[in-house]
Amino acid sequence: MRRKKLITRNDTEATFELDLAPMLALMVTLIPIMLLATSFVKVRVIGTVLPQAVQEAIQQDKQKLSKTITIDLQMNKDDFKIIVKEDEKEILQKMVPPTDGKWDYDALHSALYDVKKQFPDKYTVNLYPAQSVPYSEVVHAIDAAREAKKTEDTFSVFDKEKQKNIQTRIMFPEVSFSGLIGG
Amino acid sequence: MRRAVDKFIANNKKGTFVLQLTAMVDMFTILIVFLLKSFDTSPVQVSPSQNIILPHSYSMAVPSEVLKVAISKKSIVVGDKEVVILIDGKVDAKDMDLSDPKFIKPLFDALDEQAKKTEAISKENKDHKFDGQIILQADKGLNYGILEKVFYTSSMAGYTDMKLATITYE
Repeated sequence: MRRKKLITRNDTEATFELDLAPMLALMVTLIPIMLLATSFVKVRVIGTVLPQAVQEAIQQDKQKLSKTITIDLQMNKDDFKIIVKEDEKEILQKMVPPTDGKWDYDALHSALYDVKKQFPDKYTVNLYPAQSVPYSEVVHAIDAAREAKKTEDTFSVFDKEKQKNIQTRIMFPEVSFSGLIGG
Repeated sequence: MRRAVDKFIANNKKGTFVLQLTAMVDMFTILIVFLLKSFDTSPVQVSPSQNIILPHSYSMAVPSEVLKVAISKKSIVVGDKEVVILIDGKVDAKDMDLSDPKFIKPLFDALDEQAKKTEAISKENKDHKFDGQIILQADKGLNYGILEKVFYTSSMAGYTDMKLATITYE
């Protein structure tokens, strides 16, 4: 009986109110700082951040003494022309006609994808844009050449370190603006 | 006595009240998580220059700390210095080399000065090498004609590795 009385005397509420005011003060300070520091539009560069094996393959492609195959991409007023040369002799030519009077980037991507399938060791495209082509369109053309789409097949690259083939979507990450000298 | 107690209880209203902050804290927590996700942690911040609308690209390569050249429809800027004034996106004839139609002389002088500075630093500090890299910020409405002249002049000054600055949306 006495024990029961003791328990009743110390019986406090099982729940309690959290004091959220300091946390709220912290958040009110933190949110404006983060809003100021956060950039929703980020500046990136068109470069080559590639897996090791793919980078090695590109280096091999660059250093190859018997470098005979070149892929040229001419960007005209509203269409594209892909020319593949072997020892300066034209072996393949593809035209990408305009759609609704504009450059057709999907068709360009498909054409370059087919070229990549034929020449999987090549990673460089020589780009020849016409003087009147806007810069944004040149960037779109580079984007179309860079990677295969997720729905498309990947390409095999031999990884010397692991002694096995690895799969990559990378098509032509190296774009060289050609025709600067003597053009 | 009993009536007096009832009256006291009826009139005894608290002057203060507790704010229900839980929902607000929940909202702020979600907001902070979203902002943390959007926070750019790259060591080099490239802000688009004034009067320049960068083209959109799917490239996700993070820029490195190299010399920046900005081309708007009004001027060409090397670092923070305006070196060439453009007239509607075209180079004035007085800035061009008469014998070479792609050579922009003031741009070459500015780039050459930067290259010499970098080479002088690299002699003192071997970690700082001249690698001929440039980040090019150009307005998306410019024609390739002006870019070609900038590429050509830059390559003449030893800057052969161009990184094209683009924007990407989250």
